Parts: sequence; C-alpha cells; structure tokens
Amino acid sequence: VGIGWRPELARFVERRAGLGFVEVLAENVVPRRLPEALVSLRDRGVPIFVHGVGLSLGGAERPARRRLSHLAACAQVLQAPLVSEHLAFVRAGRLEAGHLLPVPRTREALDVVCANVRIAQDALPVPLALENIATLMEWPFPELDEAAFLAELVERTGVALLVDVANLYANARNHGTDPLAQIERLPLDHLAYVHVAGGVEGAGRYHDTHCHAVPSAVLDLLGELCARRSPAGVLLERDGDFPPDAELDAELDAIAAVVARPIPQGRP
Amino acid sequence: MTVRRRLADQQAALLAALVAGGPLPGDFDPAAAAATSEALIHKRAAAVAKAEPALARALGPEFHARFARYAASRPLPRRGGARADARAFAKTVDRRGEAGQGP
Repeated sequence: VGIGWRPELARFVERRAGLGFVEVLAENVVPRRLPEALVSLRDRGVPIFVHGVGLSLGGAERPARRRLSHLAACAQVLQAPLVSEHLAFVRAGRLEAGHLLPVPRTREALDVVCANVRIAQDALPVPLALENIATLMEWPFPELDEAAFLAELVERTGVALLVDVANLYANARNHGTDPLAQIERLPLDHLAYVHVAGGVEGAGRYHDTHCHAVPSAVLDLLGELCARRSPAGVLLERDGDFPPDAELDAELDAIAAVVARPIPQGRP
Repeated sequence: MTVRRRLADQQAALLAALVAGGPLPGDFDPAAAAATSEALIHKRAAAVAKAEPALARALGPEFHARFARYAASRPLPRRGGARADARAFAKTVDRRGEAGQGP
C-alpha cells in the first residue's frame, strides 16, 4: 500500500511505517533538483512510481518528445520501476484543458491511441501503465465501452493497466455503467497497480476531487477487484484539503485491510 | 482526411466548447458538458489559489466567483500553467482596481 507523494505529505510519508511505495507527479519534478525527501526515499529503497498527467496519449497529436524525455529523466533519476499516464487528452488545437478529458471510444480513435502508446513505450526506459479516468461527460455514439477499449489497447500494445477504482465508481455514478461488469472485463492479467481516491457528491454528480475522504463504496470496489486479481500495489491519492495524519493513517489502514482480505464486506 | 486529422478536429471543437465559449458539437449532453466546463474552471481556480495564495486571500470569499468570471472567457494559458493563469487573472483584477480592497 502506498500514497501519492506531495510536498504537503512529505512529513507524513516520512513518518508512516511500512509504506510499500509512493508515486510522484512528473509535472512537479525537476530531475536535477529532487526534493531531499524524495532522494531519501529512493536511497532507502522505497519504490517511486512516476505518474504523468500532461502527455495527452489520447490526443490526436503524437506525444511530444520533450514530454517523453522528461518522463524518462524522472524515471531514471528516481529509479522508478514504471511510468504511468492516462487514457485521456488534455490539449487540442491551441487550447489546454488543464485536466484529463475523455477520448471518443471509436475504433478510429483506438488506432491513434495505440500508435501514441507505442511511441511513448519506445521513448521510456521502463514499462508504461495506462489509467482509466473519471469523466463528467461522454462522447456520443461510442463503439466500445471503457473495458473493451482498454482491453484492446492492452492487447495491441502490451501496455500495463493502472486501474483507478474511484474513477470506475465515478463513471458508474455519473454515466450509469456497471462497475463490476467493467472490472470483470478488464484485462487484469496486465494489472500493474491500483489507485484509490476520495470525492464528493454535488449537484447530482459524483466529483472525483482527491480532496475528500474515500467513500466506502470505492473500498468495496477495491475489494471486488482484489478478489479477482491481487494487485502489486494500491495507492491512495490525496491532492488537497490535507487531513490530519490520523485520518490518512486510517484510510491507508482501511485500504490495507481490504487488500489483505478482499472479499467485500457488508454487502446485502 | 486522415484519422489523426479527424480526431484533432473533433477534440478541438469539444475543447473550444468547454473552455473557450465555442458551440457544443451536436449530440453531446449539454448538462454534462456544462458540468465538465465548471469542473475545469474549479480545477484551475484551485491551482491558482495554490500557486498564488496571497491573491486568493486578498479576494477572500469573492475569489471563486471572480475567477470563474475571468476563466469563462480566458482559456488556460498555453505555457506557464497555474502561475501564468494567476498572473493573467491578477491583471484583470488590477485593471478593475479590485485587488486588496477587502470585503
């Protein structure tokens, strides 16, 4: 079990015993000027995964060489066992979204994403994992559902999977998909690790904020996933409104308990 | 038209609708698109408040509404991320003589 390393959490990470791994946001790392806390984790042998949000692998343009070089440099200096990114686009035309947006789930778009993933894999010194995103909207007329799109992407490129169970939950809430059916059909043989995060209800939608507590329904989904395939790691993402250490400890302990005993509890 | 070109056009049209006041392409759910636009602005506001906490503090409870008004017609700068966004926002606030006036 691990947690997303943020400067605000450096002290917590330092103190928390038995943390299996951490993940850093590549866009916040300057490879030649690593924070001392990260150097110390690396040198103690704590695995550090590199997580990117700006590559736009689901975009129409080929991934930028400059961004790939940065991810590669981060992986090298942090001795990361893998780099993860999202099945999403974040820019188009001359506009930046500033966040992850969904890719149209068409065969045509799938071809483009496969080509982009291969370009990224060739440029990175370590394996690449792709994460499913949470969305508030969908493209009209999808030709595949999310699980089928990811399965084909994995089959054609050999990319690993980073399954975010909070994102599966968010999409289930917002688009009426069945998260269990999605889990059943994801290529879990290629599962690298798992993300868990909190969110909040608002205006009839579920918002995956990473600034609120993890809902118990998300932990239930984690249990369902772990019952089918034991992941190499499960990582808690917290990006803001940082709670007292005791709350983070409790969330990590709850995640560890689900991983250790994954049969979902308290179901009707 | 190549596959990449077609995808580029589709994504550019959607993004323009979400962040630059462009028309929403047909067959998208307008309510879901509006929620997405709002979430993108919220994300920008949080990043700006983190990058320039003094600016957010100076505007106090007005910050989010003011930032939303600014962001509705001003997409995220292509370079410089939240800091560039914060600078551009601060200029619009300065121009109206609103910074630091307090509640």
